[in-house]
Order: sequence, then structure tokens, then C-alpha cells
Amino acid sequence: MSDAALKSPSSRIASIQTIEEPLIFEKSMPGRIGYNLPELDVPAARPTNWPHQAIREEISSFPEISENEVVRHFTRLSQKNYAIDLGMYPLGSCTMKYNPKINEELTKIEAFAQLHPFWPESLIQPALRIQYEIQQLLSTLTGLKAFTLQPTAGAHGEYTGIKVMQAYHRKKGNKKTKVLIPESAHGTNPATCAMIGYEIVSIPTNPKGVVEPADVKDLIDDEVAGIMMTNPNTLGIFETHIHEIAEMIHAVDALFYMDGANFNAILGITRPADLGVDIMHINLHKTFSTPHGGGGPGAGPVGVREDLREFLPTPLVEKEGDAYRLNSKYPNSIGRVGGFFGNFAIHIRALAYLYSIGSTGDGVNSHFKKLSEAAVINANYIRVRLKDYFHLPFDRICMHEVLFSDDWQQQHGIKTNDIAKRLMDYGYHPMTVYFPLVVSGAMLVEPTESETKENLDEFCEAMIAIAKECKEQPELIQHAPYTMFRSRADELKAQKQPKLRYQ
Amino acid sequence: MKYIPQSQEDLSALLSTIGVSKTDELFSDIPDKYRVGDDLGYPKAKSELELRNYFKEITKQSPQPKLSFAGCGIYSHDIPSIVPFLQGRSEFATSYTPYQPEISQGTLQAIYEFQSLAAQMTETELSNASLYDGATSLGEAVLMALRILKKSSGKILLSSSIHPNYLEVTKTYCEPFLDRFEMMEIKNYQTDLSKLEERLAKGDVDIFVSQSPNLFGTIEDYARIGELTRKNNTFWISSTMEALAFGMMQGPGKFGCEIVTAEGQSFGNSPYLAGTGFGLFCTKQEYIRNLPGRLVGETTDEQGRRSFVLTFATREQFIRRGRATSNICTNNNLNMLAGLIHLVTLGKKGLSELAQQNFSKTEYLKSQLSSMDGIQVADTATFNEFVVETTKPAYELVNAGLTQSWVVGVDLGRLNHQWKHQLLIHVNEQHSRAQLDQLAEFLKKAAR
Repeated sequence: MSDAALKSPSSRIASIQTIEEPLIFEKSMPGRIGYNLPELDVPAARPTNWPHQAIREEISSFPEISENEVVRHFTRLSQKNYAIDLGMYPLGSCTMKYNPKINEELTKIEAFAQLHPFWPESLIQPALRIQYEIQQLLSTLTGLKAFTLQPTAGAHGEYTGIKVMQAYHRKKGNKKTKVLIPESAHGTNPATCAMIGYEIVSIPTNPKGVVEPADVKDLIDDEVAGIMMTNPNTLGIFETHIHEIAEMIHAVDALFYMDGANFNAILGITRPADLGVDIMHINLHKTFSTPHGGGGPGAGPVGVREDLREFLPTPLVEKEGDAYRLNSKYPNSIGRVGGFFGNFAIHIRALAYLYSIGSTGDGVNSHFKKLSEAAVINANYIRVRLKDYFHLPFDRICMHEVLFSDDWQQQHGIKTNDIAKRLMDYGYHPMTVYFPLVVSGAMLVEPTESETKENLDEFCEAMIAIAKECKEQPELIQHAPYTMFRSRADELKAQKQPKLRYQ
Repeated sequence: MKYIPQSQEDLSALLSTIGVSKTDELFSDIPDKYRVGDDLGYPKAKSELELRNYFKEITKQSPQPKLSFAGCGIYSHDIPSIVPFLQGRSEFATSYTPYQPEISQGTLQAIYEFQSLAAQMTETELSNASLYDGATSLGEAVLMALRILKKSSGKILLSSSIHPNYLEVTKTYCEPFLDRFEMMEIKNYQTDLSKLEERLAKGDVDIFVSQSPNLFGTIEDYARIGELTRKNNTFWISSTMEALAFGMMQGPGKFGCEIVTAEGQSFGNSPYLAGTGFGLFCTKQEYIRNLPGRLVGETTDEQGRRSFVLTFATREQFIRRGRATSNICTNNNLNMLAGLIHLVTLGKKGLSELAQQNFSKTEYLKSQLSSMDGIQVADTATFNEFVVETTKPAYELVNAGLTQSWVVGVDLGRLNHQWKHQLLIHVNEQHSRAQLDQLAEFLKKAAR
């Protein structure tokens, strides 16, 4: 096509994915209708007994759009997103694995969709059974005996778990004021403890990337309520001394909380309970394949050892004979953490996945193990293929994710953020950047078990090409991306001149 | 195992590049004594076909009611077919939180549009991207008010007309401040306004929390509550469980409410045992730095084109860690998206018509239930849910309904023993006149 053809009429010439899509309000036209109701079959009533000022005729600023235009609007918006179903999504500590479609199909079953939290127990047996079976299966994988599915996200699970820790100490009359958290932890860990009122004591990371028992020993005293560790940690390394640390924690009657964000590396290989873990949350949206949804809904079930069951949020889902029941008779429970029974629509998907993996016909535990092994092999492959191009702060075997830094690119004036943006031009969502905070310019890559060797090779080749560009054309990288719907956004402006809604 | 794409040959090639001969070498950090064996006791893997059959079997675990009038915080509504269709698109469902704006403009623009609609509905200045659900939104709202007020003594007064589950969650969230909690009495299924006036006049109440429509479906007099809280300089927080009411009911922001929270499930999400919620959280511009959760703002890209980004992130846990406004790092985005699509599809006319239909059908049923033996319809202003006082315990009516596979309402005695003669009935656009007549007929017999 000639330049002239490209220029006129300029606003309409674009690939369909990059065509400008107005805000829904800008598409609104008076009189357009997107939805119709059956004719009202009872007399139209007026709210004559309402407080007069409470009545509203209509929301004048609401848009008016035809159905077809709504469909196009959201379809076009969707095309301005990257997604797992489009390609590799190597966000470290996020476990962006394939989201199986059978899970979606089963979730759509109308008999599940219509289940109501205030129907009598005899009518919600399917939901209770699903929740009960998830509890059992997670128990098998973790070794922890009691579970709640009420928490609706990982951070919500942390909140629940640390409340349980607090309730345990209260019951025993322990005076506990602080929680030990490694520097490499997710930000949610300290934020959770702060919400609950615990003082946070930071544990340094040793040069090998793990927590050193001697460092924990220095920090431990009778006021320690517990420790909160992610394992494998956010550097992608298994905490070798975890059991020894757990023993030290237990010696002062403190509890060991494990953040299960990285559980995908050790399924069917080791059980957290065997490592000395007392409380743990699991991210069903990471390890157990439920979709991330552009930021939720997730689910963050919490497992605890048997004697902590009494502190879990009520009601608990239990089985009595053939019937499933809700049990609220736990006077020491921390109370409700969510309005009802957690994100049940996510639970259905997770159960489908939990049964999709399973053991082989003869009962041999091999599938989960193979899955975690594949995730770890994929990450190590990337580590080895890229180690000559990007700095490895911890040059050693990793678990399911591998941590690089921008150390070598800094000399060309290139930062992690630039590399991340350039990766988009190669057709990938960037890795996790600037996390964990203990490594400057961190780039955390988690391929998951879902990627083939060709995908890993293509990704590595893209990264190698970028490393070369950093050296040879740094100014090119500094303004990437070029092929996205938008170039770099002015984040400072968004904050200085806040515009948070259409007006 | 179909979810592991690598063949044995692939794995061998990968291992050889890695430079190890056995997979086990990669796990050498895990001491042998903590490894699990091959006999984990995990059930056998199921194929897709087996999964379908298995889940079908699970649905049979309970009979499915033919008719349900259960509400009480979670509401079934007719959902346009385009909602699940668009919500299910991979580009929305299988994407991550939009931390990288250039590659996530779809999700970001959708959130921005939601924030706009939520602020319009609640008549507030701004909305966040949503929280977990209505109950946790309320808990977060009280925590936020405490951060804003920075006082350590005044009372936190909560109306007894708030749903007990919401109260429980709020108490869990605010546990360190429970000694400041005080319950406000109710009269005829709503906040006792004359007692509220007296109580606030004492000058030691920092925060007042109300719900409208409340647990009993009653529309509270927000114009009056607004006057009282303003006069006494009380920080006012509101909750709504049935957000469809905003189609007919003014937003609490109009009356000066500082933080408006709501459950959004009614828009776009089937009940799913209350497992598809999202919490609305709206407030005033001046409180922006105290806001929990995610927020999307408009800006420009390097070429000056309109772009959307996550903003004011310095409030959030991934930057501020232990000093964040909350630990939350999700907005139940996909549920919110379904709500957004539903709201846009309804549009200006549809939202108000849908609300009017719910209201009219509810009023119709109320009129059919008047002057019946054993039943008294509570005389309050309601939207699509109301209380009937029953001579028999309400659970007896619920059980009688079950014999013909109907859920005739929610026995409020389940929530509090003192309400065991209160049956809460929810009516929506899906109930036909004939079904409402049948329910009236049934209750006439059963309630006597």
C-alpha cells in the first residue's frame, strides 16, 4: 500500500487489533437499547411509601448502546490484551500455566450456577461435596489435615492464616508480638501482618539465596508469634534449612506459616507438613490452573495441622455419613473472613484440575511429580541458555523459576524495565520485574510446565536478541515497545493529574 | 498427562543442555527424608469424559428446586447471553493483573469504565477497581475510616439492620478496635432514627455504618441519616447487598456518605453459592491515598495517545509492604467485568426498567399476601425483598415448601434466633405473575 493510502483517512487505517476503541460512554447514542425484558405482567408500581428523596428516576450519565456495539466494544478491548492462550506468559511467582477448557465447561453447569448460599443444606450438597473433596485432595498433597476454602485470594489466605496464628497464641495466653519474614517475601506478607497488628522482623537472605538458621536464631525470642516463609522462595530456590528453622520456631511455641505461592515446584515431591509447616495457603489460580482473569477472582484455601482446626473461619465443610454439612460449632474460630463460602466458581475449576492430574491406574504417585519436575526442568533450561547473556545473582540450580538481573545491561544504560518493554515487541508478556526487592533490577522468569521446548527456545532467542540490542542499539530499547497498541505510558502524569473516571 | 507437553525425548534434551543426567539432581536441595514416596494415596487421574460424568453425578447430590425466592445478600437475575460469552474470552480470562499497561489496555480500559459507572451509580467522586465482595468491602471501609480519622477513642456505631455475615466480617477485619464497636437499635426493620439522633448528639461517635436496602430489604432514610451524620460530624459508611436497587434508589453519595460499598454480584454473575462476588468501593477524591485496592487512571503514552494505567500504586502492598493501605492484590476482575458488561448492556433505560420490574413484582406479591391468616407483611419501604412475619416458625414454611421443591424464602431465624418468625422473600424479574400467585396460594395454606 502506498503512503498516501495509509494516511487517508488516517484514523481508520489500522490492523483490526490496533483500531482505536472509544470509551463506552463515547459510543452512547440516545434511544439505543442493548437488552429487552418481557413485558411486565403485573401492575406497574410506584414507590409511594419510600422516603421521598430516596427515589431516583434514572442515572442520566449511563450509556445507551445497542447489543451488537457492546459485543464489538468488548471484543475489541479483549484484543488489546495479552493472554496465556496467545503465548508464553513468563511472570515469575505467578504460575501462568495453561487454563484447561474442560474446567470452564464444567463450571458452566446450570445446577452449579444457581446454587444459593441460603438454600437449606439439603439443596447445596453438590457445592459442599466439591469443597469437601478439594479439602481432602489438598490435604493429601500438603499433609495438612484441616482446610478452609473461604479465603478468596492468596492475600486473603495469608490474612486468614495469620489470624489463626494469633488465635492460637491467644488461647494459650502467649504474649506474642512479632512475625519473622525473609526480605525476599511477597509484599503481601508484611502487609498482612501489619493489618493484624504484628510487628514485622525482617530476616536477611544469605549469599546462597536462602534463609540461614543462624540468622533466624539471632532474631528468635519468646515474643515471636511465628515465621512466614515462601518455599521455594521468590528467588526460585528451595529453602534447604526449612526443617531446622521450623524446629527452632516450634521451640518457642511459635508457628510456621508457609506462603504457597510457589507450590507448583514441589507437588508430589515433598509435603509442607513433613517440612514442619503448621499453616499454609494455596493459590488455586496459580498451582491449580484456574484463570487469573486479569486480576481475579482467585482462591486462597488455607490448610492447618489438626490441632489448629478449631481456629479456622466458620462454617467448616465436613462430612457425616453420606451427607456434607456446614459446622459452625467452633467457639475459638477467628470468625468469618468473607461474606459466604469463598469463590465457589473457582473451586469447581480447581477440583476438575485436581482430578485431571491424579495418580496412575495402579495408584502410583507420578503425575503431580512429573508436573513439578517439568516446571523445574523448564526453568533450569532457561537459566542455562541465558546465563551468558544476563546476570544470575544466584548462579546455581533453581526450582520452577529463575532470577536474572539487569547488572550487565546497566553499562549500556539499559534497565530491567526497558528489557521488559522490548520483550513485548518479540511477542511475550514480560517476566516479573523489580521483584524480589533483594536483588536490584530483578527479572523473575517462570515458564511453568505448560511450555514446549520450541517455546522455551523461541523465548530464549528473543532474550538473546534483546541482550544484543542492549549492547548495539540501547536507544532502541529505551523507547520500546513499538508494536503494541500503546507505547510507554506516562505513569507520573496519571498520578499528578488524576483522571479516574469518565465525566 | 496432557497438561505436560514435553515428551520424554524433549525432557532428555533439556536435561542434557542443563547439564544434569537425572531430573532428581535438580531437587538435591530437598533432603531425602522429606520426600514423599510413590504411594501418596492420591486418586486416579480422570479423563475429560470421566470428569464430565463425575461432575454430572455431583449435581445429583441434591434435588434442584423448581422455584426459589431466596435472596438475603445473593440474588439470581436474568443474565444477557453476551455477558458470559464476552467474559469468557481468553484475552480477558487468561491474562494477569495489568501491571504492564502497553500489553493490557483491554483490561485497563474496562476497569476505567467500571470505575466510572460505579461512581455514577453510587453518586460518589471515585471508585476503585473493586474488592473481593460486599462484606469485605465493608470491613475495609471501616479500616479506611479509622486511618483517615486517626482518632483512638470514639465509637464505631453499626446499625443492627446490617446483614449478620457482613457484621461478622467487619468484626474480623476490625478486631483490634472491637472495644469501640456499638450496635444501633432498630425499629420496624430499620435504623431507629430518633435513637440515632440522640446517640450521635452525645458527640462521641466517630463512625456510623448502615446498610440500604438492609437485611430486611428495607430502604433506609438516607436523606435523614445524611443530615444527622453531617450535623454531628460523624464519618458515614454505607453498604448495599442488592446493587440493582441503585436503578431506582439514589446513591448514598448524594446524601454525603463518605464511603459507599456494595456487593456487585447481581450484575452479570449467577449466584454460585455466593462464589462470584465483587465488592464495590467508592469514596471522595480527598481520601484517595487511603483507598484500599487497585485503581486505574487515564494518562497518555509517548505519542500523546490516551492510555490507561494502574495508578496511586504507592498505597499498595507490592510497593509499600508493611505500610500499605491493605494487603489486597486482586479486584475479582473477571466478576467485575461480567458486571460491567451487564450494566452497559442494560444502559440507562434498561437498568431503571429492570429495577422497576423487580419492584413492581415484589409489590404485587406483597399485595397478594395481605390479609392472610398466619402472615403479616412488614410495613416498610422495600425494593425486591421483604419480610413476612409468620405465626408459625418461619422454618416450618421453608420445610413445607421443600416438599414440592420450592424455596419459599429465607428463614431469618437461621441468622438470629430472635427472628425465627421472620421469612425473607426475594422477588425478581424472572418470577412470572403465575408463579407469584402460586406462592401466595401456597403460603395461604401453609401459614395457617
